[in-house]
Amino acid sequence: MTTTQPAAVELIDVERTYPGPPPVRALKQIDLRIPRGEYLAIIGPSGSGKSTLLNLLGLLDRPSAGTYRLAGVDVSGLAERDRAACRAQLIGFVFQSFHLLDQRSSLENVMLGALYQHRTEPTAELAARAARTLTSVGLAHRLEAPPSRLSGGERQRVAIARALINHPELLLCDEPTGNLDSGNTATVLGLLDNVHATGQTVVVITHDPEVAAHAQRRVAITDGNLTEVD
Amino acid sequence: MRPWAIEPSRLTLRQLIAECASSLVARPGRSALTALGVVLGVGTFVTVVGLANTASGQISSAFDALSATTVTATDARVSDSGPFPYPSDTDARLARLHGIVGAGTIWHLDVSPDQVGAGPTAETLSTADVYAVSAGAWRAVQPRVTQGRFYDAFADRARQRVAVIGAALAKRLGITTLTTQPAITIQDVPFTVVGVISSSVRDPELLLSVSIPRGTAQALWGSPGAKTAATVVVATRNGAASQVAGEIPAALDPTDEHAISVTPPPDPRSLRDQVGNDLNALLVVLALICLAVGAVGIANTTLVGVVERTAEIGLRRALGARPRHIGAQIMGESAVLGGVGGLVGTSAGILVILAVSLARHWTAVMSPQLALLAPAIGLGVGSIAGLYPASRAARIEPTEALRR
Ligand SMILES: Nc1ncnc2c1ncn2[C@@H]1O[C@H](COP(=O)(O)OP(=O)(O)OP(=O)(O)O)[C@@H](O)[C@H]1O
Ligand SMILES: [Mg+2]
Repeated sequence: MTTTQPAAVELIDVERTYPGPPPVRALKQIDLRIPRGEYLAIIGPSGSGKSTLLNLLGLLDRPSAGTYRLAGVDVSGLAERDRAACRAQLIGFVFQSFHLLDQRSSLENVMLGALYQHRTEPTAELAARAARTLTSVGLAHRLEAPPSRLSGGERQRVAIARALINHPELLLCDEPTGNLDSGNTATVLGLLDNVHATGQTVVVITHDPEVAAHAQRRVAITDGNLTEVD
Repeated sequence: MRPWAIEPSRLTLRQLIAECASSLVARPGRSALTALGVVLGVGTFVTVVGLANTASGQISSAFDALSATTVTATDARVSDSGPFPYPSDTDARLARLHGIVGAGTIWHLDVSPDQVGAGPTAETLSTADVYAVSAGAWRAVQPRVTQGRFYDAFADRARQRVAVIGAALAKRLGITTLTTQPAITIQDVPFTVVGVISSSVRDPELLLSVSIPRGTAQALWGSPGAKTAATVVVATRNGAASQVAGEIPAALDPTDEHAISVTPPPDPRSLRDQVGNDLNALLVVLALICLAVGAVGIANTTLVGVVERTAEIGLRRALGARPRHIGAQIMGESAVLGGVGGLVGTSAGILVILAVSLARHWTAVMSPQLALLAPAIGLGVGSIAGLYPASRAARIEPTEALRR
């Protein structure tokens, strides 16, 4: 059955070189296969190319060479229009610095996650869906609070809710606990475990061995080269 | 090749407007200051154009009310067949014409001034003219009655000996009230004063004179002759003057259309056009400069906003926005700023026009086209100002933006 189902992510000989001067080979001949529903951690020292890899996976950036298959489809050559469509419908992002809009409530920030969907649903329905998603991350009591009045952990939970509202195929997290203390880190990791438990593919970039330990599988990047850990 | 059949990202117009509005409302102070330039520009523009319209409107409304609706007709026959007799049903014939407010015949009576005297005191007067005024002429001349009334068509037909006198003359004669039925004599014929008029825009001479019914005058002193040529005075509705002027000769004498010479009112447009053109041009240029400054202000603030909101733009791209969605939002925001600035400017301009008109006792004239055009100008200025920031925002690389 696993053989018939395409992998969520398949990278074949992927390169990313930042044009200089001097040119930086941030990723060198990466081969990576992430089966559907896997929880993968990417670890590596600063400047090793983790974020570069995540940007490629998230279709925010294009590989300089190589092939990227997302759910079995070659997306390396897609036009921006289709890449945007994939980001809107297949991919969810969680960032280290949350990237919430300060002037909007938690609920509105989560609703923003569905703004660019092709299908537009009535605002009331969307708000109800956003409220349910916020409830699922334990923020039912903070729907109307602006991010400035939330703790760091709560902010990241809002950001996770925003990423989850579209039920993405692939959840990409770049240092999701980088700005959090250990207590909040545990909460966020618990949430990611839940997401994984629902069958979604989760990729987490982290420095933190404790965070990496939550994942099913770990890969390491050093100086642009990817290696399996364990 | 899209085997998932994934539909493209989409931002509906409603969503776009909602996003623009919520971004602008999030920074109210900045939005207000940014729109200020357009408020001033559009406000100046509306004020200048509106005041110019209002000012020339005063001229033309005075004009419309009087000259543009007055037609006079006089005897044009120079032959030996004698003066034009003006049929006794002149008033009725003219009243049938379409667009007529009132029409009647007036002529000067050849009676010497010293034969005019006030009743009991019988004091003679040195200067007072006597006019035969048909009942219908009052509706054409439209003087204001301070006491009593005009005599009517019946008095005219019955040749009643009644008179309407000007307020100035009444004062000279010592007539203060009509309840005592004061009389005046003209060539020893006594007339009862039934009305006193003050102000008579179409025929000011009547203020210093005695007016008696046409029929009475004709019975006592004969038809209008060569020495005392009659005039037909006609008041028309707005815009009907030239048409009425063309119909008058045939109405008075179907057999000889050249018996009557008609003077139509002058064309008011030529007068209106030359009012204050030079000053207006200067002020309009000033308003355009204000608008340009407003546009630069919006462009500048929006550009700064784009730089400040780089991370937000990156996030929106990560959520599925296409470059055009980002561009549309930035452009939309500055268009909304311009449009709202235009609306506020238009309202402010209208208030200024109203204030000036009130102070000067003018009737404010505001063309609906201007009231609609002005906010549209603001919208256009805002859109143009947003072009460059929008294209900059659309080109922001999401990976760069998210590094913030
Ligand atoms: N836009 C860019 N232009 C040129 N070089 C870049 C650019 N972005 C990243 N790099 C370089 O590519 C390499 C990998 O960077 P990347 O951001 O992927 O590292 P990282 O593993 O995420 O590091 P960190 O843990 O500090 O976030 C670094 O050497 C970096 O200097
Ligand atoms: Mg990084």
